[in-house]
Amino acid sequence: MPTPAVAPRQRRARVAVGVLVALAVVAVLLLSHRFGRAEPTDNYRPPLPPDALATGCYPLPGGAELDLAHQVRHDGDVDGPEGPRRELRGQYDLVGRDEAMARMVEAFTSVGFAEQSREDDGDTLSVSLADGATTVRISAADLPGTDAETLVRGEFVLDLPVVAPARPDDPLCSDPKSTKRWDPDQEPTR
Amino acid sequence: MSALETRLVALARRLPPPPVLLGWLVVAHVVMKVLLFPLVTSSPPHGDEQAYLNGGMALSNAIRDLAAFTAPDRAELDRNLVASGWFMPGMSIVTAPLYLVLPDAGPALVRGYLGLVTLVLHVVVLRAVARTLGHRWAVVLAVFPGLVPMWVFFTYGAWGDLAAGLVLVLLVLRLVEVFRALRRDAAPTWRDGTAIGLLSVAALYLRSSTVILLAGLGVLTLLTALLLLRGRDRWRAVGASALAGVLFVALLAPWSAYASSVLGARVITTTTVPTVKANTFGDREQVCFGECDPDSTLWFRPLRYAREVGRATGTSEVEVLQQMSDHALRDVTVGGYLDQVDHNLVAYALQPAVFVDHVVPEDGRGPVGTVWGWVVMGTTWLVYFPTLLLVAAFLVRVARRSLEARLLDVLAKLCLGALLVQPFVHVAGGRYWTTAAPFFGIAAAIVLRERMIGTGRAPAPADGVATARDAAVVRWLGRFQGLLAVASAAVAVVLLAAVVI
Repeated sequence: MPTPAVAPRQRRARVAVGVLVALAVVAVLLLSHRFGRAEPTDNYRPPLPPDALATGCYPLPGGAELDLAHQVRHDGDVDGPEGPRRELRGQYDLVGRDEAMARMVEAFTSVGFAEQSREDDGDTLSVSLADGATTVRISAADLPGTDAETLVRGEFVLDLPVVAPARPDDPLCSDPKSTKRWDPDQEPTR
Repeated sequence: MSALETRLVALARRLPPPPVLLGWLVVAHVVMKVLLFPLVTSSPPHGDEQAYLNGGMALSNAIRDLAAFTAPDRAELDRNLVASGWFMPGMSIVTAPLYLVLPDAGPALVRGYLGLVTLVLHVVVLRAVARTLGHRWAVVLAVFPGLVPMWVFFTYGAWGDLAAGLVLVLLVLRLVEVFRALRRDAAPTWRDGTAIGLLSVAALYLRSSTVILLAGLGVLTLLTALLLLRGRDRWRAVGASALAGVLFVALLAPWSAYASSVLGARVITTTTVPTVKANTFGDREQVCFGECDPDSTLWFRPLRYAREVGRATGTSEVEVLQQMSDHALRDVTVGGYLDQVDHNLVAYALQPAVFVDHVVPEDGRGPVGTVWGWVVMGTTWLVYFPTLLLVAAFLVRVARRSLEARLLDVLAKLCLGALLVQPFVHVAGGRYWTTAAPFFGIAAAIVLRERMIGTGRAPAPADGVATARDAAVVRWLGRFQGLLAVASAAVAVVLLAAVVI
């Protein structure tokens, strides 16, 4: 009969230690909810701010709503030849330039705007619309290196009348992560 | 150099026998740990350390809830353990027990706990090395990385790099044993398969970048077994490998499934590779199909954008990140790529102690701590850079003294080669070397030993060739070593050319 690798007494001691450790672990587990809760910081999964046009903070003229997958990249006021205008830059997804333009035009015509003119230089398609004295100009161009396989397809610029924030006191309306109205001296955050 | 060598050899002769020396080196390691602890006691988590600790906290809460028979806070777990899928949860699992008992543990407790865990792991590794390779090799690892101040400093960190390196050593030791058995015509046992599967998945859980190494070692071990064994033994080897594979997959699957369900896409380990490639090698102004938001860091800007596109298109952010990466990488040139690889290699290898300046208390260190930090940096450089030169020499040379030496040479080359793939696909930083550190020690020692034997300062060992099978094994190992050395040299030449041109 081969000699056991571990003497029986030693083995008994090991078993005893094992049982004690197991009991201690079970005791800690059962008592653990009495020790309080750890508070993770969540900082590697910051909340996703709502889409700029979905909040209604800076609405489009006439309450127009885009039925087009898009993400707003930058919003702000610029000085143009006819005074200050709002410039909203974004990207359209899933559809090509002409389809994206058709949907953006539709968004404005359905709230009373009428198409005034249309220009196509081969890359950029621009459409001007007006509702009385209110004018809107939409430009769209496909991004180089994108095709029907890519989600993001092109860029658009909406040239709009300046708008005041709908709810100035709502912190959401002053959060650039959502509004995309970036402060030039913005400190990096998450 | 020669005079220095003579002196070193004379000094080595006066040292106590390896087992005793090993004991003293462990004591020295512990003393160094104790001396370095005050540097980190009040240093809050730096960067990604917070992510790993968040995971540990959320996991401890989930365990707490389950033990109290209540439903765990799934949202909290999603946000902190998976978060954006950037990190494997190994270090979160390691820290969860601490938070289970002490939910409010601050930096001192967390770092003390991590220091203890890594101490135990270090000692386990040294014991295993002594058992498999002998006490001399354990002495080597007890010196490098065991006595490299910055490596000891990192033992208090919550990143998984260092622990992954130690687990890899355990895996390599097991492979050495498997190979020895193969020489005796013995197939790997179920026990070997179990150990290899468990150690591999542990290394992967600690650091996802080890995946290339794990895959490479796994395939090569299986191929070697198939080549050397015949008949039933061959099938046993296949069985043991299958067991290792099944264990690996079975233990990885819960994580993959969980991360995939949270992120709504197939995630096997982590989601970082596309963004990392785009940020590292691509046009940074094209990462978000144009410029990213101006307000955030390099890693968080693309993430938010990907989530926005995902929301707009009803796609998973993981898929969006892949497309963003492809877009930013459209115009990468070979020259631009190699240039960036050089940068990454520099960041990987040439700033070993930069984290002394990162892991600091919120209000700084004060004069004594600052000087202490400099000491850590300076002493690390003194040990690290000469070793790095030896590692470079190791990669392009071939150890020929004995069959065992050849085997260790091949395994160390494979490990270092596979770990150094990282700078070719990933931006690197001053903590990545800690994964490779044990292999740096082994590589440097192989070069020194070959030189000592070559110059007659140490007796040549028996070549270990007893049978015709051994002779064939040596021939094949030699060819493989040559291939690895030539490949390393070729890569080095290309990278040097990229610097010069």
